[in-house]
Amino acid sequence: MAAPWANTYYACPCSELSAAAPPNVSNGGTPLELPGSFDNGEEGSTFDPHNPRANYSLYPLDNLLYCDECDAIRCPRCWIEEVINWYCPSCMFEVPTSAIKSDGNRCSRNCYNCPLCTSPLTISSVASPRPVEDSLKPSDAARPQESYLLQCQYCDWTSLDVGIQLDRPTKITEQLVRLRKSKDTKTDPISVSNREETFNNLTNFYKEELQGSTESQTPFGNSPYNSPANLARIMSLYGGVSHTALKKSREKPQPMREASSHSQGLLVYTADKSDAEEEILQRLKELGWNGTTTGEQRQMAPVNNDARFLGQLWPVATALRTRRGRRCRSCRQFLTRPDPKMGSIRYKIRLLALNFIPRLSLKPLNAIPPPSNPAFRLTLDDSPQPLLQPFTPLQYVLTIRNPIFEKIKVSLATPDTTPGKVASKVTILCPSFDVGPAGDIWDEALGSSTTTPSAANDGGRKAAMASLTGSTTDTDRQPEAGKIWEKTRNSTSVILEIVPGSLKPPSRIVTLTKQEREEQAPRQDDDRLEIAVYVRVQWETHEEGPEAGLGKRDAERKMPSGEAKVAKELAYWCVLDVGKIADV
Amino acid sequence: MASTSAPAKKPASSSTVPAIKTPCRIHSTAVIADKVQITGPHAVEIGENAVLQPHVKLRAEGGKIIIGKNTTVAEKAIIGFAAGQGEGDIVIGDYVHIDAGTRIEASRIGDGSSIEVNSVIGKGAVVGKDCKVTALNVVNEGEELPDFTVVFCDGQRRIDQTMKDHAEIRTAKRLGQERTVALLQRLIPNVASKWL
Amino acid sequence: MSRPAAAARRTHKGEYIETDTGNKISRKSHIDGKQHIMLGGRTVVMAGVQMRGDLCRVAEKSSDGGAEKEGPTTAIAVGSVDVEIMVQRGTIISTNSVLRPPMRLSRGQMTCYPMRMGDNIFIGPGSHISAASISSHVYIGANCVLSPFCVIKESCKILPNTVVPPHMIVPPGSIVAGRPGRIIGEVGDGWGQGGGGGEGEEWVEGGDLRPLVRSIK
Repeated sequence: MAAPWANTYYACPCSELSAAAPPNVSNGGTPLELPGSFDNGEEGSTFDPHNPRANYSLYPLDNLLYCDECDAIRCPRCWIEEVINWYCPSCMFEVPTSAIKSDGNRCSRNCYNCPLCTSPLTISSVASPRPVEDSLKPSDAARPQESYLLQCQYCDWTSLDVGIQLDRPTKITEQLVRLRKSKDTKTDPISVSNREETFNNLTNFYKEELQGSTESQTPFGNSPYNSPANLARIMSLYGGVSHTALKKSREKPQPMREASSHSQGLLVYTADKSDAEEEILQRLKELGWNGTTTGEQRQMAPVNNDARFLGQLWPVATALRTRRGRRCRSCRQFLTRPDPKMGSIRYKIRLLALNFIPRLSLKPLNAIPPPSNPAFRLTLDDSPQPLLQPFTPLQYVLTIRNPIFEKIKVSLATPDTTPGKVASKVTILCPSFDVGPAGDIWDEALGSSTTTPSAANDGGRKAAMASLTGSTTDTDRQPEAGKIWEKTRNSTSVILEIVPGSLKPPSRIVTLTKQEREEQAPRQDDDRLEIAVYVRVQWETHEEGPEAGLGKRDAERKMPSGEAKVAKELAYWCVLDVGKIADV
Repeated sequence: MASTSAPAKKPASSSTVPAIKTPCRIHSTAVIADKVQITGPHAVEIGENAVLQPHVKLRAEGGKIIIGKNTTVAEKAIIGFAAGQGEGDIVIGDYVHIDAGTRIEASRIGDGSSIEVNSVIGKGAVVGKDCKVTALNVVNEGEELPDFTVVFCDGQRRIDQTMKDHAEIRTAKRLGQERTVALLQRLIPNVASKWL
Repeated sequence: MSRPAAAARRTHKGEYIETDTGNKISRKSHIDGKQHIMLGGRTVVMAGVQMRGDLCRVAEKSSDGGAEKEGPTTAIAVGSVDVEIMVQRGTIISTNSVLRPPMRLSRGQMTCYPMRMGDNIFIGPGSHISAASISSHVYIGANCVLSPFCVIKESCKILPNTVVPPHMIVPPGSIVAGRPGRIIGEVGDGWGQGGGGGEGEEWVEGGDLRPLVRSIK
């Protein structure tokens, strides 16, 4: 993965699955007895990254937000979205909400997409072929003979395929609506307007019928409870049924009339269209499967819902998109709020989880020597991740970076064998430690621009350099249990020992039943070694100052003891993707 | 055309070129950019107003390569087989547009077709007239694409009805190709003489 | 601004030629029409990259090129010529990609249009770029094809092997994938944030690419 921590996923503790804390850490703040592992006594209390439902609570860190009022991570499941503006992605034109309500969620300007492949259509002009006799007329020569068509530059579909030719390169929507109407009337014996009229008749008829039948039942025609359903509910609640109503209800309800004539909106299906059907069958035979539309093409726009053949597909108006703000589901404050001005990519409010929660990143302790040319390291395909060999102990450096301005106390916990079919052993050599506070943003910026690779005290950099140059300066150091591997201003690294398990189930003498064998069969991604780590962070904060990242917290919140420190705690599961286990 | 017989300076590009010089017949109006590689023992014919852009490789290792009139071949396109990889002539028609990074091993590409970025036309394939193979698509070995075929999305094929039914669209496309050629002729310095 | 080959500081015979503004140009890249290419500084052009600066707009004799402030100092003989490929700071163009200004008919003439790119763009290996413009903080995966005149706005992510169709406009913050490319999602609100950690691995997709530029030697 390109980003250094892209192989790390964070579980938002909003669901039951991801909220479950390992038993040893959930109660009390005592550090774990066993270094880096605990007995997995209670089934289901650990987070299984291979659980089919796990996907729905794991997110890359940059997709998560943080509510600083609730002091909690927020994910798409626990934030609510609020549309700020609607716009067309093609012409970037903002569409007012009132227009959305009246005209629907498609661009009403000149933006259309190819009905075959969804690419944007462009307007191109063609010199329309002039019939021979026309060109003889002198009057015709004066008129500019250019017509326009919509063309897909990707798959070469053009609107000529459905016989659309436009007179002007502007006001496409208007022209298309007109063409569509004339086409509908041509192909359909019952014209569109006629059809609409019929439908109106039908709805009117049934409305009247309903009203008629209910009005006779309720003696409270003028009462404020003019909705029969409401009234009935109230009547049944309070039992104050009038004598007449009671009598009425005992009577059989008057049967409602059905529409029976054209004036009432009834349109009788006549089976005299058999030759039309024959024609369709004939065309089906001619065009074959490839000439018919796919479900996706039909669903793309209402205008194409009935299209049976590719030649009937109409250009699709571009669907509008939205820009949205996000609010915390529990306290309703804005977590992100983009600048309402279209075209601006700034945010008015943006509370990113990565500015609030410690970030974990994992890398091998003894990095594999990089390929000869470091420039090619960027191409993923050139250096695929080597497979992990089963039963070979591996050591990884787990780095925890602190984004907040307070010193944090971190406790890590992980089941000593990974849940799921492939049981890999995992040991965190130093499960609880402190991470220093993040500096001022300026410190960081200055620091990163001035530090040179020769900064000797910067252990991380040294390790990185070592991994780059392939030198083995650090190999004489041995990881020790209970010791921190290395520490920088706002990050601490510890060693993780991993023994990948075997993909093959342990051999057995007893033959398995079919069901058991099915259970044993490896599923997709079973060979991925993913370690779920429960991260618990504790820190103390002065209520006065902003204690976090960008200082977005409003300092208005008053606590009885202004100077007192407030202890805070945050805990979440984090899944580290180590790599694939070799099948040997 | 200057008649410098032996290519004086091509040490960088021709380090892999075998000693046999490719017999080339290049029309006087054709444009061959610098850094084009033409290799192989078989004949190469380049028609009038054809444009070969930089880093095009013509590998006449397994047979003749004929490029028609007003055809453009964009950078990094490879036409022909590597030595020993196959045999057969490759005929590219007129008004063909071959985009960057394509690999053409077809036996024939019809007039007015366009082969887009990084697509592959397999050995012995025949591409009809006015076809379009969109980017990253593959025409399999020996496949025959009828005229007006469009290969798009993930290898879907369809017949371009517009192109088939409307001659004026075809002429418009030809005209566009002519204009492209005209522009490229102005922009790309011609070193065709080096191959004669 | 600097031109790739000129003012090269040849300190040692490494793979990259570093210019005064911090551009790193691979010796194995193929650049045509250098005078029409402007690199804003701290830009990396890797091996096998092809840049077609020679496909420039041939101006009609009206000579309106004077407005170009940062234009090439050495005008070429054809007349006033715009900068064809303009790349801002911190952009990385990976191995074997092709940058080719798009062209189309305009007033009966085939005309090349300049290609503009913003800051901190990552172009994956083997990609073909013919876009009209690419805004800042865009991450383009490997083997993508950005067809002529497509416009990629800020903070987009183009997944590998995507073909962005011609003339498509990708709105800010979109994730695009497929053939032809469609908008399949939106990048997280934290797109490009959180780099600069000072750990030797501090660049992120869509973020500030300076650390990565620095690490390429």
